[in-house]
Amino acid sequence: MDCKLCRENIYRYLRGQLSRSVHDVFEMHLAKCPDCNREVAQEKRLSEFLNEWPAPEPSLGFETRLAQRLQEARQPETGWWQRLGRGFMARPVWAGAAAVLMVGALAAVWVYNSQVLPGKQADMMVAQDMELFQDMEVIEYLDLLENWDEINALENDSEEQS
Amino acid sequence: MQKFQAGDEAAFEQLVEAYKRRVLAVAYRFLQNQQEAEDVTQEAFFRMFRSRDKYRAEGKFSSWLFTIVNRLCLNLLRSRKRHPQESLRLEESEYADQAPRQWEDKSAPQAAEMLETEETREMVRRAVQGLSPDERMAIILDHWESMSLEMISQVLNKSVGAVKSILFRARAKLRVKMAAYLSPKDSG
Repeated sequence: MDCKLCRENIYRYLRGQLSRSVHDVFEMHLAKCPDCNREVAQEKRLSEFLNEWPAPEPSLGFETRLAQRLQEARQPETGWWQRLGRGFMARPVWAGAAAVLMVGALAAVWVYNSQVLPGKQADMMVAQDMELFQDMEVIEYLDLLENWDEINALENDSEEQS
Repeated sequence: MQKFQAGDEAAFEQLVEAYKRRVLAVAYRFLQNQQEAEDVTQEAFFRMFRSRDKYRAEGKFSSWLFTIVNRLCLNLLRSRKRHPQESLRLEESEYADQAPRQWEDKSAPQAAEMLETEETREMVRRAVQGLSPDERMAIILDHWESMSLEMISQVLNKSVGAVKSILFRARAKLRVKMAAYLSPKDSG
């Protein structure tokens, strides 16, 4: 066994995870290699130091808060709008931002309608006029249509003749 | 867990009892903040309850639970990055609470020993804090929870080989950070 292989296996050696044969070869290498021996000693010390850091004790209200949360878990799942509402209640800044966005969107729609739509209506009127001019009979009597006196006179003549 | 999936609520209570301290310990060592660790513990069991149908019996329960814990811890780390001042204030207040309590009895005969223990804990805490999130979770599950490489690989969603190298790298980093303390006692 060389030093590289030895060092890769130090941790498994310390945890007793090496097979019997590899374990024996490992110890034979350690017996003649002071550098790897030092590495093993350092790994042992590292594990001892890590063990000095204990797990924390739960704080006083932890059990109560956990029980409450688990009770919430047992409640039937709510709809997305209710979860959204709860999220907004927890973060009022988000609720404010969402309200500003909605107002902005509504304002944008209103401005678009008031500016763009009149233009569209004008286009539609032109298009209707164009359809009118396509009616050749109308074009033929266009001057007459603009002069109502002549139309009335024609109507009177036709009534007298009848 | 299968009993719980079948609707046995008592089985759920037993799971919570059996795992709550382990979950709290993992979250605490990862986040190094008591309040956040307790929040993560509550949320982990909440999610475990709500997503019980997604658990598959072929996987080990603890791997599944610690996968949830790992995700929640990572989410909190991201949230800390978004609100750095808030999390800094939390950490400071936590240590402000703990430090005087541990150090106040300096006249006691074990004062020097306690001082040394506190110093060691602080050194370990700082060294672990300096690891990347994957390295930190791997070393916590490996050293303190004695989980197998296969289980850690499920929690981190990585191959066993990748976990081996993460652990190797993490221990090497810890040894560098604690080099001054790791030399054998007899040599000074």
